[in-house]
Amino acid sequence: MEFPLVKAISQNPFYVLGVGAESSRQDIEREGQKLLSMLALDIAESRTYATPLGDQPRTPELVRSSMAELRNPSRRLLHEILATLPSSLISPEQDERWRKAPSAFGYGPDRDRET
Amino acid sequence: MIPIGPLAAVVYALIRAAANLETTKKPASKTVIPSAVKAKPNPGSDSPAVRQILLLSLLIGTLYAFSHQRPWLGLTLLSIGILLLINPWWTTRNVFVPLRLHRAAFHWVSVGAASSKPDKPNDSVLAAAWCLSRKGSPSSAIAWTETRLPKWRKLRASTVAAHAMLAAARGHFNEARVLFRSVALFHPTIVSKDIARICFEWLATDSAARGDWIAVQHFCKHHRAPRVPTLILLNDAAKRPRKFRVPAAIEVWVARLGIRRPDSLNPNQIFLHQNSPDNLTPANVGGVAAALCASMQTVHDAGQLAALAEHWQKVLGDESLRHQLSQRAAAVGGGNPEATLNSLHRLVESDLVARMDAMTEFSATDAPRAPLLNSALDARRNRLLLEIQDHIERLRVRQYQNQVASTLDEWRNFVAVHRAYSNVCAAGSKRDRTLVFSMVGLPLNSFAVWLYRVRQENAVANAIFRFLETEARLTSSPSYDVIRRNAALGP
Repeated sequence: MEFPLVKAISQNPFYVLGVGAESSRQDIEREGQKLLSMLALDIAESRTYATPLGDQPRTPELVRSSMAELRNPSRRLLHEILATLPSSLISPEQDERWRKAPSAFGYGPDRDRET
Repeated sequence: MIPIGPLAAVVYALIRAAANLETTKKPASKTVIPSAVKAKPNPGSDSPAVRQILLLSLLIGTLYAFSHQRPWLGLTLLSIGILLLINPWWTTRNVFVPLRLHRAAFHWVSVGAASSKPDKPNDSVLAAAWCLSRKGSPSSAIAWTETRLPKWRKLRASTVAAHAMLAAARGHFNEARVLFRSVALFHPTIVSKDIARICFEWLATDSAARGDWIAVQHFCKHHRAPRVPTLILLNDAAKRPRKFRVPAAIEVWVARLGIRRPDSLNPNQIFLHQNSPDNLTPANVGGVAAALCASMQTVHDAGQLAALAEHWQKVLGDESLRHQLSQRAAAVGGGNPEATLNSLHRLVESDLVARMDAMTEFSATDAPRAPLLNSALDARRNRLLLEIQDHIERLRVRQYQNQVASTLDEWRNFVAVHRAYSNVCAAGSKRDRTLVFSMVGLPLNSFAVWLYRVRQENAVANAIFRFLETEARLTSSPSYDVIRRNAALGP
C-alpha cells in the first residue's frame, strides 16, 4: 500500500523535474521541455529521477503533470513544503522485511511484487 | 504369474466406484439459488470408493509382494498406505509442495483419510493451489485447479482457504490476506487443525515478508492458531534483535518437519521495537524535514502513529512556516498560505488514515492525542460508518429481492462489514460500539436467518450469529437472547 504522503514525496514535481524549490517559472518550463525531449529520444539518464525515497521512473506524462502542478501558485507552495528534503537518500529505513519467509515455509513466491 | 485374485478385486471395486464417483458437473435440477441445492452430499462425493480401491489394492499388493519374497516392494507399498491413512497433509506439505506437484497433491488429498466429508473437495483444491502458490503464475494450472472447486457446494472454511490460496497463486495477495484472515470467523469445529495451520502460517510468513513483526506475533499467538513448531519459530523470530531476526535454514527445516522446540528461546520475552518515526529521524533536522523523514518510515502500532501525528501537528502550528509561506507566495506571485496549510492538513490526515487501515490491529489508546490524530480518527470513523451502511443496504436489497449472489461474495461482504465494524470499535468508544451495533445487528441477523433457512448456508450463518452474539452481549442489546439461540444452532 502506498501512503498519500509517501506518494506525494516520491512524485513531487520538483524532484520529477530535477529543479530546486526556488526555481523561477521559466527555469521550470525550460527544464520540463528539455526532459520531454530527452525522454522522446529515450536517453538513459532522463528515465529516472532522484528522491529521498530512492530513484523513481520518470515518464513524459509525469513530467507534463508536474509542469502543470507548478503553474498553479497554491499547488506550488504545497509542493515546496514537501520538497524540503534533499533529493538524495538521507534516511534509508532499515529493511526489516524477510522477503524469503513465505518461500522458506513453503508459501512462496517471495513478495517482491504485490498486486 | 498373474495375480488374478487381486486384479479381480480391483476390477470389482472399480465397477462399484464408478456408480458412486463424484461428478464434476453441476446437478441438473435448476434452482433459484444455486448454492441452495437441497440434495444431501452425494454419498460418493468424497471419493471413499476411490480410497477403498487404493487401500485395498495397496493391501493386496503388499501381501503379494511379501509372499513372493519382495520385501522392498512390500515395504514401499505399505509405507504409501500408511502415509495415506495417517495424514495426507504431511505428505503434501513435505513432498508435493516442495516438488510443486499440484495434480499429485490434488489426488493425494482426495483419497487421503484426514479431511472431513464436507471439506474433502475443497481440501484437495487447497492442496493443489498451495503447490501453485510457490510457482508464480502458471495460469493454465490455476485454471485447472479452480475448475475442481465445486461451485454448488455449501461454503466451508476449507472453501474460503482454497479461494485464498488460489488468489495467492495468482499474486493477488491483498485478497488472499482478507480471505485467510476470515477463516478464523468460522466455528472452530469446522476448521480443521491442518486448515488453521495453513492459514496462520501463510499470514505470519506474509507479515514477515512485509516486515510487520507485530503482525507476525499477532498471528502466531492468535487464539485460533495451532501451537505448531513453525508458528512457535516465527513468534520467537519476531522477538529477536533486528540483526538476528531471520532464522537459520536449519531452524526453518526442523520446524517444517514438525520437530518441537521450546516455546521461545528469548528468555526475557522483551519485544524489540521496530523502526519507528522517532528512532529513524536524523537528529540534525527539525520542523518540516523531521516530519517528512518520519512519514517515510513504516509505522506498526498506535504509539508510533501518535508520534508521527505529533511531528505534523508541530509543523502545522509553526508560525515560522506560516511566515515562510507568505514570503514564498509573494515571490511566486500568488497562492494563499492558509489554503496551502489546509491542503497539507488534509494530505497528512489522509496519510494517517491510510496508515491506520494498513495496520493489522489498530486500537486507539486513552493517552492524550494530537488534534490532527483526533481529526484523522473522526474522518476514518465516518468513512467506516458509511461503508457499513452501504454494505448493509446492499445486503438488504439482495435479501428482500431474493437476488442471487455466490456465497463466497456474500462471505466477502460479511467480512468487509466485520472488518469495518471491528475497526470502528477498536478506535472508538463504547458509544461507537453501541451505535454501530444498532446499524448492523438486526439486518445481519435477519440476513443470516435467510442464509440458514433458504440457502442452507449453515457455516456462514453460524459465523454471523456468533459474531452478533458477542457484540449483543457487549452492548447489552435486548436482542441478545434471540441471537444467542440462533448461534446455538451450530454450523
